[in-house]
Amino acid sequence: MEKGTCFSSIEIKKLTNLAKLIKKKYGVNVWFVEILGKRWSYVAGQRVEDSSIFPYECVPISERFGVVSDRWKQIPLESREQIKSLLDDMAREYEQK
Amino acid sequence: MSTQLVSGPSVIEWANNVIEKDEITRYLDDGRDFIDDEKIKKLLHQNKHPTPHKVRHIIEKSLCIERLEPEETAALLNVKDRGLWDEMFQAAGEVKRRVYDNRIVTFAPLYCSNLCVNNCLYCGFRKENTLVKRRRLTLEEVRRETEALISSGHKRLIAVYGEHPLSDVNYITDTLRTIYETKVGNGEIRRVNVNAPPMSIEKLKILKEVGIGTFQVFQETYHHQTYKRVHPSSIKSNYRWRLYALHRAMEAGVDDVGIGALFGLYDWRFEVMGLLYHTMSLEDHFGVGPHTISFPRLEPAANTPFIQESKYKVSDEDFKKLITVIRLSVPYTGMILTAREPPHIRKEVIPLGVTQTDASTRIGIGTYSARYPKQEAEKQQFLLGDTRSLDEVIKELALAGYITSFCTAGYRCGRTGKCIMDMLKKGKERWFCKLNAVLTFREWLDDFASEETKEVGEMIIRKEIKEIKEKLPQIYPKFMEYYRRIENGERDLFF
Repeated sequence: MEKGTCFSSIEIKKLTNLAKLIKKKYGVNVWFVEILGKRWSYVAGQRVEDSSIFPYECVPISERFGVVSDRWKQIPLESREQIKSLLDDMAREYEQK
Repeated sequence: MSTQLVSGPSVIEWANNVIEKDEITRYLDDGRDFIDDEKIKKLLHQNKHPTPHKVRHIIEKSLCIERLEPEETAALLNVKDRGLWDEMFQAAGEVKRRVYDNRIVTFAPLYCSNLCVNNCLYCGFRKENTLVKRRRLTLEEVRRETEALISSGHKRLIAVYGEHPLSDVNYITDTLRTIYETKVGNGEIRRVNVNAPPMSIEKLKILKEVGIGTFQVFQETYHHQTYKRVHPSSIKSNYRWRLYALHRAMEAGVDDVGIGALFGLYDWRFEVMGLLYHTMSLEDHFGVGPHTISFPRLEPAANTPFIQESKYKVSDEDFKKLITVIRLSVPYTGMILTAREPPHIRKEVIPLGVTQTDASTRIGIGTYSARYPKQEAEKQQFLLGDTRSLDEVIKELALAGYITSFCTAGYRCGRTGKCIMDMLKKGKERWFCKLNAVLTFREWLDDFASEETKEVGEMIIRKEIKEIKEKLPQIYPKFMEYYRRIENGERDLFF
């Protein structure tokens, strides 16, 4: 049953694959969240078996979406910008829904 | 005036339009809900005499943090041997430590409105109870209540609402925003859980937007016939509307939900089975079960004779047993004990797997800011067993070796729903619990503790830091950096 996140199942799959790619390429754990006031609600990304105990950085991408990561700044700036851009696109699509 | 408020024509019309039938039928299996009364009774009967070997095998399964099957829970519920119960009590405590470490999270309830269209026989707020003074907090009053709670050191609340058009989803979201916006110096409420009536998916989506913690709806009793008897009229008389309240919440995207039963309405063994089936149904539909399970017992309420007459009241001994079996049956879910229970019972049952409890509790409307000295039955839903201050409760917990946690980290960095539940099942979350418990306890000791409590708290902190150094050497330097920063006045650092 589809849960009421603002992401479609295709987008969730896309984000899951992106998190896997980031992990493979940079060794960095990321997961994607929907921002609801103080709540950052899990949407997709790093799985429990990969998680390390580390202070996580919460990076807001837009009013609605964010990324949580253990080593966000270890991802090259250019790639970080690409991730932000992808999420920005999703945010725009969401706003238009 | 009061009667018009709870049963005037416009209120009745509102109540007639709350239930969306399609939002019940979509979850049914061939027209049946997931509570099969006869099957539960049969399972309890078939597992009447479990062998010690079988019981120990089931305990082992719980210790591996695996959810039990109904026949296994039924077997545990039927244990008679005192020695085996002692083994189960021990195991329940061990399960809790493996999943959540030795921390206890504290919170306070904030009753925002006691207007209600329902007529639950056991409830002091039922609409026919004319002795109760009806009141709904204004947003300014909510702010004052929140300030009082922040000033006593709370970081987590559960906001509570009756079922009424004047406390509908719009009022709920307004009050939640007010709570989140209220600040006292550096202090603020970091997580608000919600205990509110069942809603439609459309309304739950509105609620979700505010950023709530856990959304709780208790079934009260899972036994169909008893449910019908104790909820004779209005919205709450619809068993299935309530039973699927949290399925709708999950579908609306509220991914942390809390279930509960009011023990004393029907046979306690049946209710434990009901809680397990509820857990299983949520897991089947959404891949994740409840975030918390609550197990309140019936308590006296003003002008509510039903409570004295109930033949299913749960003894203290059976209360210990039901907590133990819930802990072993759903090892990874949070368990909430409330101040309904008196201090001596709280002390006795916390070691059986409780993860959260309330303190400095007031359940009258507007009673935190009024700072009233004693309970007044006509202002409350029921009478509390424990009205001790947060400081007193924390000191007692510390003396028993527990660290009080004000952690609200998980839901503010995406460890929610299935994500956090998977981490709990794998024993990963306990380390976050430990680190964040120490950091938030440090904050509280420095900002709010009495000298006496601080002294006991320091001992617990030293013990915890030693354990972190030994068990998590790789994270220890970072942890100590955070710890020092908090000692130097920074706040809200977390893992």
